[in-house]
Amino acid sequence: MIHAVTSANRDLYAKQLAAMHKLRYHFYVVQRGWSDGLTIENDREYDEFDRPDTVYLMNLTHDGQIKSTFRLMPTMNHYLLDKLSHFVDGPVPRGNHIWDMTRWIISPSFRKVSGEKYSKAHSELACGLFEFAATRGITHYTTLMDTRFLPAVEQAGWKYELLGLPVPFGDRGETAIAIIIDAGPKSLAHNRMIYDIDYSILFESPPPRIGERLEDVLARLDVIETIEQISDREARMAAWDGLNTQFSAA
Amino acid sequence: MMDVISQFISDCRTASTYHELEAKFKHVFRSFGADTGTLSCIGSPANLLNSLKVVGSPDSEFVRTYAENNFIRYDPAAKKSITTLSGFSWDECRFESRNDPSALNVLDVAHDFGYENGFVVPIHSGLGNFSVVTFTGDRLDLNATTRGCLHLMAIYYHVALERLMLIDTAPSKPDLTERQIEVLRWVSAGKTDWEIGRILSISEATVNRHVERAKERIGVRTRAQAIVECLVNGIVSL
Repeated sequence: MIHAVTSANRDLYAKQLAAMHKLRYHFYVVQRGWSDGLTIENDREYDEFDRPDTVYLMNLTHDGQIKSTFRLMPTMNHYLLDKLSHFVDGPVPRGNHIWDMTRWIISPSFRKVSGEKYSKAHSELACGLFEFAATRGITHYTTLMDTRFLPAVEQAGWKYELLGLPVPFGDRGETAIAIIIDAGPKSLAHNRMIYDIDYSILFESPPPRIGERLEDVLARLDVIETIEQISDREARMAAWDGLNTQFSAA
Repeated sequence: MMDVISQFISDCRTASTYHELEAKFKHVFRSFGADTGTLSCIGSPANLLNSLKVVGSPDSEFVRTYAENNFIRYDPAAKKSITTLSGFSWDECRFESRNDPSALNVLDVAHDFGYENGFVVPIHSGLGNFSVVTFTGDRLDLNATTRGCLHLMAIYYHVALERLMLIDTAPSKPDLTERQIEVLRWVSAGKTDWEIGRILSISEATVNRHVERAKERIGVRTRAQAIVECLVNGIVSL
């Protein structure tokens, strides 16, 4: 399940947020040698875009481990392409319906295994990303990405436009390119089709009640997810019946 | 500049033959001052050194010399492309391998063939394939814009080639006549040759001949296999 972690429900995800900042430290600081404008505390990486209006999409296992994450923010406020406007040929995209995505991470243990076209952790997150857009009325995502991922974006059949040319960044000879991705409802349908996920995968928790733990939320979601994945109607009804018995027995 | 690239990207998405794609590719890299554009080594990074497949437009004499002398083992650009994520020039390789005579030799031979400088783009595709696209030309001005544009051209050329290769290897529908399809439909419905003959008002031997010809065209030995192939390809349905 993809969890939308917002300023309203962030308390529920304290452990996951800490784990995400650790993953980011490992991935960007240790492996790729980034340091410009980053704050590093206790092996955790933060930057100026970890703000109250930031939304983290987290693909979590049923016991709360991170499979993959994305960081999203509205382009109405100062965002990455404002800071790195030399990646954009022309005006920097801005609008209520345009959000920016950064910090795309797949945990090492959930990466693609040989023979797989896409990792499950990625395909789920992609569907969650476009579902989030559909629920929030977001029509486009901007992103500054490593140019080496461009062939994969093209081959996934995403609709997008290039905002500029690849430009070198960092000191390891890498280049990045800014693109704007169509995130309308058709994109959600397309991604569900190519990744073979035909059920709702996004969850946004309301602000937690006092004393509510993420474990409780995950247990409820687990039940819902199991049932949503049963595509055969009769089998699904039988599963619901089983649950009803379970609940009335309790 | 972006217009030229956007046009090339849309050409890559619609090209239906290698010939068409290559013509568009040539046209666009020439407008950036490159004389040749070559895609080599499409495959997995693991067996890169065993595969040298050249698509594009380099001098065939140079390609032969390269293969005969097993230059791929010494070529500093080939080596660098495995460990690098973005485009680089032969000049950079020349400097980095300044103490390696066999590496310099490859660049010198290329120079003798008139390839003074090259720009190399390694590509890792989403389908797990790896390739190297090389642009050469003595008028190649490798400023930031040209580098960016060549990088994008290489990516979309690779993706389009990969798409065409996939179409090529996909099994094609067997080409059957109307009568053969009609007969196979009745075969799949469980009718004997004699019964089919009665239904279509032709002889049992003719029915048999239609079935045999259809099996040949589909490339199978038994009737059951022929029916399965036709079902898979949507030629008949149950």
